[in-house]
Amino acid sequence: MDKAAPNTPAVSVTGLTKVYGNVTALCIERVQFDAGCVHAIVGPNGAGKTTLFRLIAGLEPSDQGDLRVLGGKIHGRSGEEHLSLRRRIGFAAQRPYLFSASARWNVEYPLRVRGITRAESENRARAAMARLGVAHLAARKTGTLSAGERQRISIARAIVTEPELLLVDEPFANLDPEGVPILESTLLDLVSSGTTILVATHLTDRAYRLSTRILRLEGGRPAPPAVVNILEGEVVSTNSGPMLVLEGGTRIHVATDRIGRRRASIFPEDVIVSARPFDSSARNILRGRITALQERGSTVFATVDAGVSLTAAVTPESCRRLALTVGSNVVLTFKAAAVKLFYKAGSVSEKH
Amino acid sequence: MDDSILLGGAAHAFRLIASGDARVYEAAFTSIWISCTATAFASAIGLPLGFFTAIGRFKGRVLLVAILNTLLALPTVIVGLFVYALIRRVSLLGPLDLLFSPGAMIVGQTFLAIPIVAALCLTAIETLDPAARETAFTLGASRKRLLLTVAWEARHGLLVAVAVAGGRLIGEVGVSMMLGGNITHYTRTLTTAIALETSKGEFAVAMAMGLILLALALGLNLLLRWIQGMRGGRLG
Amino acid sequence: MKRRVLGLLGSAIWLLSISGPACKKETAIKLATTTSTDNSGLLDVLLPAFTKESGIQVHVIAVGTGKALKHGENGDVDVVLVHARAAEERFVQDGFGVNRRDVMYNDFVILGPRDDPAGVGGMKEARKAMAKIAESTAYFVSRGDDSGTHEKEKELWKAAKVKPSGKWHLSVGQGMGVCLTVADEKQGYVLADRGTYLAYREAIDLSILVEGDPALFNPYGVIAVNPAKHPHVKHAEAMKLIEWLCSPAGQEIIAGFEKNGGKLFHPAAGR
Repeated sequence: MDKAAPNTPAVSVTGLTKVYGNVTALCIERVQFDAGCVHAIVGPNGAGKTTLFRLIAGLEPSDQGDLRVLGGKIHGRSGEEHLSLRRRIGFAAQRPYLFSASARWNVEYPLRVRGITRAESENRARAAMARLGVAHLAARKTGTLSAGERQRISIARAIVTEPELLLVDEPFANLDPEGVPILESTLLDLVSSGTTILVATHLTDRAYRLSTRILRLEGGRPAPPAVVNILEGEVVSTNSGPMLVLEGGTRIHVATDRIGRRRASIFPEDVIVSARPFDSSARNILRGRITALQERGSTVFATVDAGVSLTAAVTPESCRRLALTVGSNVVLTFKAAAVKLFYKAGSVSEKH
Repeated sequence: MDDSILLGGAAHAFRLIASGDARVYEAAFTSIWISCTATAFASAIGLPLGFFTAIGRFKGRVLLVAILNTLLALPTVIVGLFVYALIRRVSLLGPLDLLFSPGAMIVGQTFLAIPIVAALCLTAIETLDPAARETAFTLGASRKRLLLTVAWEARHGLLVAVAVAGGRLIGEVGVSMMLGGNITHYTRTLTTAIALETSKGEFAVAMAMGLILLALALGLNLLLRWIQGMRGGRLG
Repeated sequence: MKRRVLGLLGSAIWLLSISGPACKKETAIKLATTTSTDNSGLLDVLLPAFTKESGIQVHVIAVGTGKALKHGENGDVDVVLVHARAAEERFVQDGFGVNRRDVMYNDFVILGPRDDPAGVGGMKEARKAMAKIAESTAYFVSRGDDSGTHEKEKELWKAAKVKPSGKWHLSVGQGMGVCLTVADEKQGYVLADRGTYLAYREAIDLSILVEGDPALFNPYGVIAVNPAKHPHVKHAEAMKLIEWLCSPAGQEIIAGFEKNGGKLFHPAAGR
């Protein structure tokens, strides 16, 4: 699928810091969010996701650094230029605030403040609500809505203006189960029509379902992604059971009875590195060559090119005993059940 | 005061109310129109004052907030004295010949109510969830629209501010007595009439007016409860 | 914004201007008088008759004597009607008032509990009765508000050569009605004008113990505020009122006024 100018960053961050009191809430050396893609920002609560969003949305000034949003500086003097830049951004907050009026009035609000006629606002608001499956709530007073309904109204309100950049903060936290697939497909629809979307979530698997572009924050700083082997391919049924056929042609045994496109992850701890194949019940045995070794904490991560790039965790002792170096030939062994499969959200393919 | 005054007075009070006693109703009418007018002026000044003090970030803001809250405790007599000095015939506003007229009472009550309206408005805006303003901001509201939205979201609190001020004014006696002069058919309100009738020993008439005052205050409080009970209204 | 503020100010001024002078289409003057005079009800009979004849409205501001004279000094009113001879004379001497005239008089009475612990019942001289009250252990309730009645109290204490202080002397600082109620509750003695006493007679358990002493007479004077001092006062209209009050027409109404089964005022003009 065509992406709108995929190499232009929608948001670029350089040397950005934000300090509350004596706590550094955010400190990012350099990050870019390419236009026309879904980006997931993951991390535990308090990692700085919301702070980053607030800075991007222009709600707060940064203490230092350069933040360019849609090609402009969001933290400048307020004025017409600032207003028109703000109006190209949609923001759905984690704890949505709905104005005390009807749900539809809320969704019409961003249109009305842009001077769009009442009739057109009404139509577009209705469409946005229908998109999120909450058209029937239009006349309801917001005080009577459930948390999940509020979340959906808030998102409808954020997308009704068809923003170029959409910020969605923890949309899954309060969402009802039926709302999750609706939201996912809505977001992917939007991205296919050129919207850049930033989703913050502490739920890693939700992030993987939406995107392979993941920024992990910890203590306000970008952290290396929790090392997970993320694979994408087609589950097919074979004589020796279901297998995941990856894009390079590599085949991996998986434990599932459903075929079709899937995303998969394998924890590095579940992958055993050995010099030679050994006898075990594990069904996946792949030969490959080490392309990188990285020691982090008390674990050494060995990245192995075995037709597909996989990372395995080994103890420093094993690393010494096996004399692992870049270029060593090794065997990777893991169980079919170690391959966690999940549906990729929506149907739009994305490349990393 | 023995029970016969209380009970007999109350009974007589109801007779006066039922028979449409001119003194009683005239005073009630004067009370209502003067207090309502003063409340309107006080709101026109106090609401913007409280609003911009709440959202503003200017030098002396803390001082202004402290002053407003202090003025809340101002005795009505002091307000009366202040306005008296301002409008007496030999002073600045003397040529308007306001002293001992409904206009003087309105000026006095307006000054009395401004701090009430402003302080309560300030609290209403300050206690409003900051997310209201931020949401309007992220939804693309202009600065002016932002303020309107904040006011709309705080509307219950603002109405309460106005209603509380109205309640205070209708039961107020110091300013009315001092600036209005309690002139028959002209500046005699329920409260000044009550003071007068009590001093004359006309307890039943005083009681009747007291009951009307109570009824008015009750009506106002019911209105207040209703406003506070309202949630999620429509934009008018 | 600016236009709105201006509009607001404009409408404020408009409202004040209609509510102020609107009632002056027929000329209105302001008369400061004492609460007791107003409470007597005399003015409700007297003033409409004057308005009918002259077309001049009279707005009555009823306050304590001290304050009534103060309003005159400040030029807040056009004419004063009070009962405190010494203060009235000072008022004229100091140049605040002109054309002082005696209008009428009523009288004060000394009230006390029926059992009369001080034993003053039936005494002819008020000052002696006051001295006796001071000697006894009973309470004396004082207006303590610089009113005409309070002035009279002080005058009597002076004549009795008593300095009114001590626990027995309760200075209430409020109107006559409140003082009567307090005296009733405390079962103490109190100096009251006859009119207020008659109005309260049913509600309190106090009786007249001393009356009729000329020292208890309470003359009322009417004074126009000096136009030389306050040029804005409506002097001509004020003079019309004074002339009328002292005319046979006004004096007749005063003499005929009855309340609670008793005559309250005696005409005094031309005496």
